[in-house]
Amino acid sequence: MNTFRDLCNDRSAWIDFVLSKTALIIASVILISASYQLAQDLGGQHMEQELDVIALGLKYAIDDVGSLSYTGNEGHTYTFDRVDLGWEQPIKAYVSSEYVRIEALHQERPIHSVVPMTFRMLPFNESTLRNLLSINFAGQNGSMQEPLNSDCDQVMGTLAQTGSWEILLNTSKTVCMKKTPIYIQNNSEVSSLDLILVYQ
Amino acid sequence: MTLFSFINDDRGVLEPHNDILATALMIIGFVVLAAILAQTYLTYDDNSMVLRNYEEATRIAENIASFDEIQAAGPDRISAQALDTISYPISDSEAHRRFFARYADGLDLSVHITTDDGHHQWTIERYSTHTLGNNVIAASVPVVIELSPAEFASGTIRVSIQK
Repeated sequence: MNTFRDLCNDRSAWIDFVLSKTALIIASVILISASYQLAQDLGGQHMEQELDVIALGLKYAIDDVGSLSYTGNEGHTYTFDRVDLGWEQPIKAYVSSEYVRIEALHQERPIHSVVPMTFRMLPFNESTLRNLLSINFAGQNGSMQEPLNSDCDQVMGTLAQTGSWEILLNTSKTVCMKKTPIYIQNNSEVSSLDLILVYQ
Repeated sequence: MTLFSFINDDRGVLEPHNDILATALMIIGFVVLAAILAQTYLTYDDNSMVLRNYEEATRIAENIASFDEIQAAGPDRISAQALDTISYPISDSEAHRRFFARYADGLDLSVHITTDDGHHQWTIERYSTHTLGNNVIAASVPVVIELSPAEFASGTIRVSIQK
């Protein structure tokens, strides 16, 4: 009892001192943690931007081929040139008909950059494409000599199904791109549908 | 006078709490810094995305301007007759599908072609459910439109991408 009375009558303000210093210590810990987290987040953002640059580089290369007003055997290539910038593991590049996806590890956590495509693209080479068309369209491979007897919707539906798989690209190898036409015969009219093929 | 008396006050009322005041100022400074960094990053991200989308829209507009199926007989001219068949109301749905078939399925596109005098305009929309929302990026390129074999007009292709 005397102890409590002594405590209440103690005018040396030690409890004020202890409380204020404890609050300062807690505030400092929170502040330092927040600074650390902010720095970490900024580092993560920087890594994501690096991935965006890589993904956009491939997308723009594909778009450049898609923008060409001619089709044919002209080969276009793309080389990943920013993949050795100190990643924890080699980056992984995936393509499908709808997007380009780049994946990397940052502090043991996977980070991604996904960029949607502008032009219709398929992640395989021309012989695979012609084989797929032959299988799906009664032996017609969509070349000028063997146009597909179908309509545009059916052809696009088939291509969308086959091209929706993600293909893993080898970032140390060159990526080949080619714009190729698929000829479609609808009644007596023959029209072409341009596609970009991306393969290694 | 008030400031003078304040700085000459020797009673030391604030003295024991200097560290708390300093910490409070530091926290306020940190919060302001974090807010400025976040705002700068968001602005940069928005602007770079707008620029990317604008480049994409420009690329599509140029691609449409050179699309074989809407070219007139003469060089670098778009045929109004071909536009009539694929613009609203669509009279050739197969040609309309081919017009957009080159672009990825996820791309929600709307194309407006007008002559500079405003007398002719065509609207070609990819999806019938196309609704313009807040995030629309548009780009235009100039074209020459062949209204008839003897009549030409300068005009514009405007491509809008819904994001």
